[in-house]
Amino acid sequence: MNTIYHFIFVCMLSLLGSSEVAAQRLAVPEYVTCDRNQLTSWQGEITRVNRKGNSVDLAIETDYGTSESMTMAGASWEEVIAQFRLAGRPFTADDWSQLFDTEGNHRRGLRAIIWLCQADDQPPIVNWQLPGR
Amino acid sequence: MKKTALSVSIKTVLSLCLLASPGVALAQSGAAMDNANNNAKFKRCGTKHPSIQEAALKEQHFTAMRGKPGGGDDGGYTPRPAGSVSVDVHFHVITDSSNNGALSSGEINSQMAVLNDAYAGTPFTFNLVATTVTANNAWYNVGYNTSAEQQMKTALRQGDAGTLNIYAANIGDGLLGWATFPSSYASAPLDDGVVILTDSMPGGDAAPYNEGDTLTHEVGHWLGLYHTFQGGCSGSGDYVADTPAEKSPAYGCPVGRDSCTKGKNAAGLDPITNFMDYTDDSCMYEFSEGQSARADEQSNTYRGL
Ligand SMILES: [Zn+2]
Repeated sequence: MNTIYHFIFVCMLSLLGSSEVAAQRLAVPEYVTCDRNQLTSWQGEITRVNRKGNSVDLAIETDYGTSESMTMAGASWEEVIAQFRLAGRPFTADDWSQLFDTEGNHRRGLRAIIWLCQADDQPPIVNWQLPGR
Repeated sequence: MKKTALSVSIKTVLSLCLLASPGVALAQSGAAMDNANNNAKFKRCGTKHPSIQEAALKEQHFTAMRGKPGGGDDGGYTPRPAGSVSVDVHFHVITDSSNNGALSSGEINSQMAVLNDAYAGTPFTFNLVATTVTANNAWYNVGYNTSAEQQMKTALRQGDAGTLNIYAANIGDGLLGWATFPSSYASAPLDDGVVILTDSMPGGDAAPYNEGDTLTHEVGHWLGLYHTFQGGCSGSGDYVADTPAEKSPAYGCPVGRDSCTKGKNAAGLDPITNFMDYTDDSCMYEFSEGQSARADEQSNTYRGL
């Protein structure tokens, strides 16, 4: 009986695709200056990225099983991308195109860690992580 | 997916338009931080949660497969006594060609002592049976889910499902460590084990994460525990009844944090002192009884411990 359960389990897990429950521990990186007591994070797979002028609307399925979304907006595009990192390093304007495929859709498997600070004067920081590194 | 309606308050819009620094304004949903921006309105996105599905599926499998470690008369679960389950540990030290990452036996023993202290109230004790040292520049900077990780584990892993293999290296991507779950062993035995940042060990350079609790946390996963914030405020969370639900990870040591305030999982403050949160090492010091029981059953079912 257990063998049957196990077989069904493995088959069904494979249908769920690449999403995994994470078994990690994150450190707060140096570029996040928010008081840690006021900090949280969303880590997971990006499901929506839309730029409209100087704002970005994005959604993420976190590795711990929640769906989150937010909009970041600035007075200029430079202000917005100043809040971005790519694999931990500073983000440049040219990096934006790397998040998308040739058809303009965000790349499959694109991930991010989004750092959210409770303090009003600290905007979120998005550390993008490209798939298939 | 239904598009989330976001609205930004007048004050936020003003700050967006008028203030030079910081110039980036935020509207967020999901309310990871209900107090994060009192001027924004929040709404949770209505899509399904893949990892919620996966966790639920794993739980069904666990229920079907689970052993009864204590062999209770009614066939139910009886916790095994504290310290009654000895886990053999193989500790793999990875250095670079300049010997960065080298550890003394005293440093490894100190880490093992932290681990055993953390699990003192549980059935588990950890017995260091062997240490290896390998100089490999690629493995020294090993990343999660990379070919270097696969090669390292294939070359070094020892023992069976119940043997704990620990790899200490200079891991990247801002991670302090990662681990595999018990239920993953059958399909990926060579991948099984725990990887930690060498500097997270007691006295390392990764303050405030240098008291050795990363290994405790990762071994918690290895024994079948989820994060305390698994599932956020809804659903079955971490499948442990006595850890209050938590909306998202906590960092630092935010005493009094209460991120789930509505619904059936609203009771209790966030378990910021629990080893399975993301708080500083100095803040985390406990497992709950429910977590001990879950680790007991998971390790018995999937690891034969
Ligand atoms: Zn973890």
